Amino acid sequence: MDRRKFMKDAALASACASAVAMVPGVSFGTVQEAGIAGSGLDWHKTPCRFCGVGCGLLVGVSDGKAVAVKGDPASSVSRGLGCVKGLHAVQVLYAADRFKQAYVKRDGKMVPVPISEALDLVASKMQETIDKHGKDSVALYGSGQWTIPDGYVASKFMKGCIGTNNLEANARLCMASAVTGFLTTFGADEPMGCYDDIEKTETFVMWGNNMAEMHPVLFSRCLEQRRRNPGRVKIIDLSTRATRTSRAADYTSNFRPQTDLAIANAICHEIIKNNQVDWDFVNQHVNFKEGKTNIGYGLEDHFKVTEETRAIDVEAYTAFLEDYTPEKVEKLSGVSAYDIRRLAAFYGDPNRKVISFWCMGMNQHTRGTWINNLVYNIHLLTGKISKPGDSPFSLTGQPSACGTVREVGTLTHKLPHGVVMNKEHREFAAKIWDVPVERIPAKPTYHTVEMFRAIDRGEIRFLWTQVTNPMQTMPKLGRYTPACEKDDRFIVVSDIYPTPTTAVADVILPAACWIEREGMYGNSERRTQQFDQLVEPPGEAMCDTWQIIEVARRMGFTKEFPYPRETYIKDIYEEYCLHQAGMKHGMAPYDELRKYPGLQWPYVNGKETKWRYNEKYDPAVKKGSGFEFYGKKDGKAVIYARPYEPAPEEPDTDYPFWLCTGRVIEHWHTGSMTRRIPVLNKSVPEAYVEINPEDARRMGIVDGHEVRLTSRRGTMLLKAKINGRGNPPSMSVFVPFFDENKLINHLTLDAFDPYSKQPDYKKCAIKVERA
Amino acid sequence: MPICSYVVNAAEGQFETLCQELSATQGCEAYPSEGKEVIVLVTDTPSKEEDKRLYGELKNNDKISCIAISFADIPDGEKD
Repeated sequence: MDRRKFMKDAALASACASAVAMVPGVSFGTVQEAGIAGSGLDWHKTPCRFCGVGCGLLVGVSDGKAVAVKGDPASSVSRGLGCVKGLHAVQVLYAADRFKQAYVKRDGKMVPVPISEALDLVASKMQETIDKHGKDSVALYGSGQWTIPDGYVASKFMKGCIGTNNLEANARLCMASAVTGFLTTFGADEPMGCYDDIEKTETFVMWGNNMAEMHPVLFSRCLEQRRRNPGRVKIIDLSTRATRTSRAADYTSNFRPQTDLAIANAICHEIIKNNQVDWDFVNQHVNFKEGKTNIGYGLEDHFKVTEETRAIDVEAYTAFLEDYTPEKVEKLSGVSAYDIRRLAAFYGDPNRKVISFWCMGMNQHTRGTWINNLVYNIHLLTGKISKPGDSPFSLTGQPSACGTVREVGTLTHKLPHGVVMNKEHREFAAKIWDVPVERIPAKPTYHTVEMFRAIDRGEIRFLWTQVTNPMQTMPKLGRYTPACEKDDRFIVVSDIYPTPTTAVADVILPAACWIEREGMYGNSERRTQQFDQLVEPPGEAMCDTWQIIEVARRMGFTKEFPYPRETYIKDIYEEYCLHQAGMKHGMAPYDELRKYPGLQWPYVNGKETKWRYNEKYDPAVKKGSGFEFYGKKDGKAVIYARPYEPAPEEPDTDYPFWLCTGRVIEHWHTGSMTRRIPVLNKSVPEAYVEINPEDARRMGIVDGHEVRLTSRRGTMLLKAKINGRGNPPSMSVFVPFFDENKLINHLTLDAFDPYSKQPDYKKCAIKVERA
Repeated sequence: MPICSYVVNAAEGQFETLCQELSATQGCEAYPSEGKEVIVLVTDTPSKEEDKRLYGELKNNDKISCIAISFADIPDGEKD
């Protein structure tokens, strides 16, 4: 097939996919019968490249090129559906400015070099930095878009070979509060339920979660469940602005930023007051605790806080909740006492199943751990947990934030099994890695924000990033971009296209993308999804896993990375599985993974575990116990008394508006891929600022006017969007972060949750002026 | 030599005529959908200028109620 024919086939496939996504029920049978590519396609399964839902796709390959995408009907996640990003996903491989060769900076200019030369330079510069400044002067920063093998070799290389815990990933910016929420309440990470809960529930409560745009395929399953059960199934939206999810909801309430903490407590207050507690469940499976308060916001360098918890009884917990009557919380949150009581009634009704969904709204929160705890409190009090249709469910933003960052453990404190602080866990990892245990340091070093602060301070001199774009995603960019540009910092970036991060690089390594290499992702519901290499990467582009192996071998770690090129992904996955073996986290064998669109862990005796901690479904639960939260030594989950505390920066006279940032359905994170897909980029070509119509009228701003936003950290011009897809309440605005020409993170604050260390991108104070 | 594709919605009652018209237009391949009045259109033009001209024609076609670009391959040197 010539290039022209190939491009026409790709154009046809793209438009068919767009039409199918845009118009329900449309089909192109005659085109499909003729074969979209004309010459016949080979279809291969793969998970989608984008969000954490993990939709199953079929990619059509013709003459070595990926030319078409359709939903995989065999996928239990998406059942043949795909969203507008997924159905155009193959186009991310073929934009004109794709990196096909390596570049190194010489005399201030990036010049192309053979990749072997660039890898030599990376290895020698890393070694030189270690020799001069010590092991903790080098760092590796990855991603929830890393595959499982990428993250695994990164952990082995940094912790087991070099001997530093300077390993972090961008999932710190999106999922860390979910992790600390799970760990503090249950002692084990990741949801107990699964997507099957959607077809078994009667109530969906969206906590600050615009699922219609961010997890559209799952949201379509929620809508279908309501359509099939008219009058019974309800969708309730709790949010800080009206979104497409709000419009689809049966009930919607806008709350003032940060007051979700108070609302959750008010719901528990009502459940106890109305005697709707499942006391059998609570008495057998729950402990009550309180922790530290006034824990700070991490705004200072070297900020540290340690949690100290204390057991309390149910009476003390009930007394704590007296501060959270619906009337008191109405004043704080702006949500009426009536709405709070109605929400509590949905949770408290013993004959109604309830799912709580959340994602960045609760996680990117300076009290993210607490709000995760508080939503678990509601489900634990009512016993609506670990049962089909009753599920608190933390959704994920990235395709393998769970599979790679959380499960493999590519964070400073983590190991593939356990944490670096635990001697037994270090010994276990060292044994599998065949490295001296003394080489794995027992102390975590820098979480992500502190890692970039350490670059600024000069404690870290060498940084290698893979599959992420921190010069667009870090908050308070005005500090962290100049930090990376300092003369004696050496920045290596592995990526597929130019980004604000490659702009500060000393070396750019061209990466293979998605189906240009084999890999595995792990989605929100503990599902591991393998995909084969379907097409060749362009030029010298190389798989991220193999880039790390090449550098490690150049630094002398050949014994630790013995994997042959032909089978390295399988070999690495099988080595990784040794860390997770057992009834509580056993992974599906490689050969099984290849057969199916995905398999859930714990995978025990050839079976997936759909609901953890419930004896009926989870073979790891002690027989006769009914439920066992086995992450905790006594098998009991924890209900925490966590108070409302205000955000670190709230609107005042000088900066009277709230700023919230986030995504739009058309663009994936920083837009480095989706902005290169014409149909998506034309739909939303630039970032904008959503303004409340009344505020706009008062300030004389009309749709499309240029508006100046200013925070204490930076200023920016954006076009106003009034009555668009989102509508913020008065005195608050929303800006999406996908646009590299409008880096909204120059305005955001680098405050973080003291326990999870996850920054809050949803709340800071700004002023808004007509430009 | 730009290649583009579009999702085209026909104006009410114009679906059949529009399909025939587009199929007969130089540089256009039209693929009608089944059951809905939606057409997928692939264009293949010799230059960027010609692509622009054709797109202008399509935009001004009364038989089209909505046209949305899905794909564009404009070789290097022909971009804005």
